[in-house]
Amino acid sequence: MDVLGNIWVGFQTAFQPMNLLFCFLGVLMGTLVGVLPGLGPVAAMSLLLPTTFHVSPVSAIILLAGIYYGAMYGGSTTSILVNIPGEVASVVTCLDGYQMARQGRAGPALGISALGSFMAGTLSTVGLMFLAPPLAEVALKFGPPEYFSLMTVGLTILSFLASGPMWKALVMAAFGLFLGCVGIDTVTATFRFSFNIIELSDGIGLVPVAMGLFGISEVMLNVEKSMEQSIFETKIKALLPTLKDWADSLWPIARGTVLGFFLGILPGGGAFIASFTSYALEKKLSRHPEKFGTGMIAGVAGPESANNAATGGAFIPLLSLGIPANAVMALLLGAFILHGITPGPMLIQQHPKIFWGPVASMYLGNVMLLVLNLPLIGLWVKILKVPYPILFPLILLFCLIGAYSLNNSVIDVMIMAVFGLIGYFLKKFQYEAAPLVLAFVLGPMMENSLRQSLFMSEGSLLIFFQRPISTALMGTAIVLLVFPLVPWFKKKRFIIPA
Amino acid sequence: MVSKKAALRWLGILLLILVFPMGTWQTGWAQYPIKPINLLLGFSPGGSSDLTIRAISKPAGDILGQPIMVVNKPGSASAVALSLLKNEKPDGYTIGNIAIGGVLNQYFLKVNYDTLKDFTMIMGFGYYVLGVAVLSESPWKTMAELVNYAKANPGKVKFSSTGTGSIQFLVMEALARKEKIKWIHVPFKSGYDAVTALLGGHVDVAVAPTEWKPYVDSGRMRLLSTYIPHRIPSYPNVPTWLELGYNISVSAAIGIIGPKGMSPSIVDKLHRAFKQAMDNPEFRRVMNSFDMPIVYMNGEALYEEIKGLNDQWGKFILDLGLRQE
Repeated sequence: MDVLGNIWVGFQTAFQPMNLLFCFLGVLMGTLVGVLPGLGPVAAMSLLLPTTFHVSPVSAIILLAGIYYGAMYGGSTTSILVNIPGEVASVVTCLDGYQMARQGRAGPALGISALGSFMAGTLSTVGLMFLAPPLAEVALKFGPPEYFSLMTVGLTILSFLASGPMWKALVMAAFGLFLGCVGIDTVTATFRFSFNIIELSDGIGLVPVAMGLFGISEVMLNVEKSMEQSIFETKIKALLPTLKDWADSLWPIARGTVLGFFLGILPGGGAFIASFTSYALEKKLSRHPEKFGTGMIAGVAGPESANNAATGGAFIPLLSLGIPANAVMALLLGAFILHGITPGPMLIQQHPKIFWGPVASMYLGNVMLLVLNLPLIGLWVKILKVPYPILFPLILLFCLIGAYSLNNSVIDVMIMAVFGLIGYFLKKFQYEAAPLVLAFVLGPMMENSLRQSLFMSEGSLLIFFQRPISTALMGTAIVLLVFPLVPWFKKKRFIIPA
Repeated sequence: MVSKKAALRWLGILLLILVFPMGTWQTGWAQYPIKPINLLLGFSPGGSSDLTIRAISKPAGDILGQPIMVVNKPGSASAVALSLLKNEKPDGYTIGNIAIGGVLNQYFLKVNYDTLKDFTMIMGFGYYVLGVAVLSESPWKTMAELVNYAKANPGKVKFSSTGTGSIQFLVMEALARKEKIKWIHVPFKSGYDAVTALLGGHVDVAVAPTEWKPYVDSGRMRLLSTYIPHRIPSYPNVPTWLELGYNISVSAAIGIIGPKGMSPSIVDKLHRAFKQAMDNPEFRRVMNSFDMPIVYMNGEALYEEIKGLNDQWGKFILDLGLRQE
């Protein structure tokens, strides 16, 4: 098969000393960038872009791609250690990962996260190698109606996320939907709720909101407690995952990988949606769903694998069709163009090395990341032992820098502060932030897709059922909504999540 | 009664305080520039605006002897960057870029700037490329065929654009009014989304800047026409709207500007540096990779371009009733 021959060429390219060096630099930087909250791969890549002018396109792509999937590894570190999502897609890891850290199990959480990410990253690279062109064509079939149906499924999943009373989750979701409305409306060019603050015209940024709701509020809550009480269980219970952890994580990793890979292919929000969906799936399939949110390792293994698999999936539309699936891919596309290569349907034929070289180096990158991250676990866990009065100002400092670095704007820092306060009160009154974040992301996408679809159908709602993929997804959403009511229909007793 | 020693000490401190900022007192004239210059870029990293401005800023900085630091301040198609730039000191240490998005925005929302009154036009260096594309399987081989079909079949043709606030939508709307066409507009958030929608067959026509380029080159799409003033160099067979008889064209110029009130000698220095930078081979390569024509415009010419955009489209937007307070 031609593919194997190409894979060989790819590995030959990837093993060239220059490319090995670039791969290492990329993943190292990516990890650092991922660990620092707020600062994302986009910033790092755009800073490094000019320096890649003078190297070959293959090396440049290897470096930049390394930063991207490296950041996915690093992002989970702060989520677990201090409840601050280093990356948008790491928000879900905060839910159970941080709780594990508080119980002294930060080591296993980090370990499973790294190993799950490795397996997911590697498997998704395999998928990328063999399935890229056909999958890209499938992704094209996703138009506005399909996206709307997909988002509907996403919102129904919300009901599975809530550990507390359902009505509280719904209130949070409503709040999230409202927040998502802020900004310029694509369809009518109207400015909604921006109060003439120009920076809000593109909407409230997700990253400052997430950092505030999860990270800053947590710091505020912890600071309330007496300084003698330590925030983290000081007796670190083992650095590595136990056999039981492994057993509990294997299936979630597998499921997360598949889920993440396919969701990552779709332009627009792949990694984030993948991680939430994986979490909900694991919770549904678990034998102890009520324990999710208190430190279940499946709640870390699944989403972490999903978001790493999604990075592999995100390359597919770019490399096969020249369509960027997210902002990082758009930057990579810019890098391609700068080097005189226009990715598109001809990329694989015209420049095989540009495709197979980076793809092969993704394997290497994942291995390097594993080697980098595993020994670091000991170091990260030690950080938790730093007395909290010294730790929390540092956390705040990094958050401030991170929030500012997003758009060089003080507004983002203020948003983070405001949401930190909101998050603090939410936690006091025992509302959960996760449904808010999910609705905040899905809401605008749903609304846009709905209106675009209705334009296409000239107002007819039937369009969602006239196309095969959309019908299938809508059907799934309906089933998910109705399913919990089945026992009631059968007049069986069932346990309401309380 | 203050002792002599204390008085001397205070005098010393006063002198120190006065002397320290002396370095910045001379930020005027012959010695400009003595420190790095900030360029407020109104777009996110990685797009054609970002990469081309960076490509011209680097050689310009080398020529001036001080680096030009490009700072991304994305938001609302450069409206954020422009409103920040307006309030900066006109000492030549903060400059910015102008592009069509920033111009159009002032008709859609209440911004605190006026693109003609609040800025000093320094130099323009090129135009964005904009075009109308269809899939190669589609039945329309020329723009005229598409227009005639749309005229005869109102409400049947769906076109994607980069949003209701975009020039893409505005030109199609202007054409629709002129030719009495009724076509359906499906807005998307970016050029990539608009072109992807065409690829997937969800719309019939895509109206966007260069994002259609790889597909046109590979034969998957056909470029029907372009609505900039001159033909695109890489596609010499594609007619412009002016040639086709629709009297609509958009010169979406891209250029460097500064706050109002900059001294002519500083403007001149910047102007000459950027003009020289236009000859830089890296810069030319970047512009060519985005197919953007490299055209030099001096300050007055840039002003005329921006004025033209304001006149042409400002009233149109207000007529469409799209403005909110």
